[in-house]
Amino acid sequence: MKDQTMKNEQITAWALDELSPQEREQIEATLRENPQIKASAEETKSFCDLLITELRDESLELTPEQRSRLQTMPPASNIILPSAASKPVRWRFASRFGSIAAAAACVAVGGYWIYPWPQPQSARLDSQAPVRRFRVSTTPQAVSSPKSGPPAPDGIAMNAPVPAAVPSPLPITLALPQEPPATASQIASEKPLVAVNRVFDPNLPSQLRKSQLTGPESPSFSNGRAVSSGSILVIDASNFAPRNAALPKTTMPASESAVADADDHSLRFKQSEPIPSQDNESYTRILENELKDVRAEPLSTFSIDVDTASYANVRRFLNQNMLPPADAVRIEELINYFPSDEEGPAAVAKEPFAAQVELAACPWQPHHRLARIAIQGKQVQKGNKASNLVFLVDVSGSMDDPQKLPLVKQSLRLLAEQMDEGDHVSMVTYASGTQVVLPPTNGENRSRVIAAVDQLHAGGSTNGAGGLRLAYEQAVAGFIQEGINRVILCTDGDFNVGISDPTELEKFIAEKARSGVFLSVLGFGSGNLKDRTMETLADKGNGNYAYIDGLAEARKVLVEQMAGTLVTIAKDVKVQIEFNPAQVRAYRLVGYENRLLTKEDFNDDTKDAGEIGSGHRVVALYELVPANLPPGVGPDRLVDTLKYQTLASPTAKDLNETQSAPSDPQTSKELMTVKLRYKEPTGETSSKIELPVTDEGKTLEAASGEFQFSVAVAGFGLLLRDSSYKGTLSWEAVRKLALAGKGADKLGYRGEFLQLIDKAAGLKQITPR
Amino acid sequence: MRGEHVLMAAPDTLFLDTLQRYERPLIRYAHGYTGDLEEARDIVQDVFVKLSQSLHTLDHERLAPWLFTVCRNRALDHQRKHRRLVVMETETLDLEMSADPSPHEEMDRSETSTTLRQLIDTLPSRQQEAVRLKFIAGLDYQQISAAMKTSIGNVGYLIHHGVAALRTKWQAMENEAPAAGKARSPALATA
Repeated sequence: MKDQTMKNEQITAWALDELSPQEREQIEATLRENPQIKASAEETKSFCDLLITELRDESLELTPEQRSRLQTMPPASNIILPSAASKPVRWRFASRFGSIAAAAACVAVGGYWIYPWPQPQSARLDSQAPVRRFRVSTTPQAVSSPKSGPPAPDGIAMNAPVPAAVPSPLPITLALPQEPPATASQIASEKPLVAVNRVFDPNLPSQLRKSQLTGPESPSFSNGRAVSSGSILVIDASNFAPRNAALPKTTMPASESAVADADDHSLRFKQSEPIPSQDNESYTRILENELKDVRAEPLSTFSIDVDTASYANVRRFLNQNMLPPADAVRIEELINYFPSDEEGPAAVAKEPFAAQVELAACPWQPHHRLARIAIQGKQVQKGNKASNLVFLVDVSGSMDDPQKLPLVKQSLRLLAEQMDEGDHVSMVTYASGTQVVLPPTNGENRSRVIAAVDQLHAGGSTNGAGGLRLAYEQAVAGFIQEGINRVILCTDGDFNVGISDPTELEKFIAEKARSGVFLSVLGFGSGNLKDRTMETLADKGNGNYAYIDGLAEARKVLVEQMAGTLVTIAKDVKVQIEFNPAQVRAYRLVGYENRLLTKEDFNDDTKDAGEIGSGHRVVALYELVPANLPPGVGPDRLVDTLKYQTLASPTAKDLNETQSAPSDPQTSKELMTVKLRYKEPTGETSSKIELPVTDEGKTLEAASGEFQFSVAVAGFGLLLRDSSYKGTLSWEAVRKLALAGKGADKLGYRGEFLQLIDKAAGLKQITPR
Repeated sequence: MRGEHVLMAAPDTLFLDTLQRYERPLIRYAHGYTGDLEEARDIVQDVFVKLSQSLHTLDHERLAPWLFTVCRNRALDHQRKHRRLVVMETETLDLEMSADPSPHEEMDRSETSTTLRQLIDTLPSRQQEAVRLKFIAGLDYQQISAAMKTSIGNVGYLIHHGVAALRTKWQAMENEAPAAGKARSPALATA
């Protein structure tokens, strides 16, 4: 029997060609003698062949990107490669949902942020998603732990847990921003740059290095999903801390937070979800607008954007002594963050906003001009209108986080305190189920509203769509004609029950928007912010979207700018500039990369664009290359003048429309015409405003304070982004401009900005490229 | 396959050769565990990164076993995590369905190979392991014995029984659904 078994194994080995020549000889001799065994052996062989053919699927391979990364990887280096960044289908999906749990592979050392995992350039950076959160975690995989030593040939030892210097217990000395740069933690804060090189800096102090690089040597490097591996440390020091104070944020016990965080968030998404990078925030790749030749493209069109989230995010980074990733810096959002003293039109004016254009010299390209187009919405006092507000509060488990529900409560309290007689507030919560926790209540009865707010607590899953449905029902039921009818959604955006197909959700919300109820989305929290979902909701639901990173921001959005947040004065506001080739050779729109429209969209009333709220201000800057630049100065013509045609033919049509114009001497002096289109909040057709502009040759010094301040903020952005258009700009110049444009600064935002300039300049200095 | 006895090769070349030689076998192997190509790719990328860090200390003769062992450990880690996730997955199932390309992948894959993979999953774990290393990864007995830290004789035993069990199950399925177009009978597959 044993013999027979032995023989059978031999036969299998024979079938698999695993025998030595000698053994094969023997077996084949046996087979020849015994046709029965031979038949069975043949069968075995054919089955083995079947297995081999069927199971060796040669089409399974690395992505070409992965392969070439590996091929070009320097030998024996501690390299971290991004996980497969190559799955369009899923990326798209991910982008719909905002930054889905990009797992963090960052190691926190003493509260600093380190990114051992590069944000791959190729990674999907979901569009229009200024994701404001960072998750920091120990990265078991970030690894090649210096301690693991020579790997055992069998590889087993390599996968055994390595006793690691666990990062979190390191003495947490959150350096004051002013602290000299040479400490280990400061160096840690340089990590982002190191990460860009995708290689660990071998010169890092060894202690630091150890703490970063070691960690329980466990699973998931490969998956790029630190979520489930080791510990996660979520730190958002800036949220509740006074902005410029040292950030005495204690680190949570890492494992605990890992559980809480992971359970609530990222793990909801299937493991196979591709994760673009190791941190949980992803940014839309910003490809800066290029210098455009006026002859080729005489029209520049974009949608306004009153979003200001990027500034709050950049501030958070800098307050943590880190430079923000370039793609987190959206210049238009930085500029628009600052409230201004500029007067809008009177409340009774026919047009909802005033537009102003100012031109002066460009600080970073002295021969260029800068045009600042400012749109100032009129102030409509909220008090004029009764409001019917429905607070829709996400009380799902994921909101159970100090940065979320407690902050939501504080924010809603702020809002409730401003409610008056005639206003009605109701509140709907959603978790696994939806519930009206506060029936429509007169704003006068504030204590009741506040008591209901105070009773909110988190738990359960997130039936966002159900909540929305109920909230809209409430809003429609209490609809006030001519009043403010608005659902105020407070969430981290993590909808996972009910309508979860993003397109369906969009349809749903667009339909609800037709009811005349507007939507404000207030994003809260960190690490799980489904930015894209929320922005989509606000976008399709005729609303706005603000990210509340702390009480100060809540106050700004809900108190100081409550009217802007609640009262929409115009919707679908679009801007189109037509440049005069006789005056302008080339132009570049600074920022608004995500808001560009085609020239045809401008007159197309079905094309959605940004809403503007009461008192909102939107600023756009154009860098202009004058047509009459002296030779040898500034850039050469982007395209040679055509020899056989007077006009570039593909765009001749655009130009033809204005061909008659230049004959008029007045028109030919004009630099450009700014055209604005908008709809009344309830209107369906747009009105147009036109504004011809001529250059008076103003110097920068002669420009208004607002101009100088906007330019300073833009310059700040260019330098932070290391823009290729930053030219000769210096931090000092930015500082000077900001100071010149600071003005009264009643609310202190500009003073804070000055501090951020210094911080950024310092950080840039110690992290040279 | 025995060609990796290349102690003298420059580390770079060795790394690149190894990459070329084992990329696909490793992906297949990892895929056998994860069932997800993207995961498999990440796992294998990780394996090669680890290889590059360890190349100088590795016994080059045992390169293949090392690669597959590391790969397997990674894959199993993945699987463990994956299992932990299942509970939550149901919550987001509707979310996932729309964009998950795996149904598509699944369709592309031949039914036969899918069935065979599923059958492999039913084997006792050591047999599974040996069968995977043999048929999916394409290692020889000697390498398998190194990877599994067992004798060559034991590898022969495991594979024999694994194959025999697979064959029995396969034929049972063939008989159950002879007309179901279950592709090829074992006998025909020889060609």
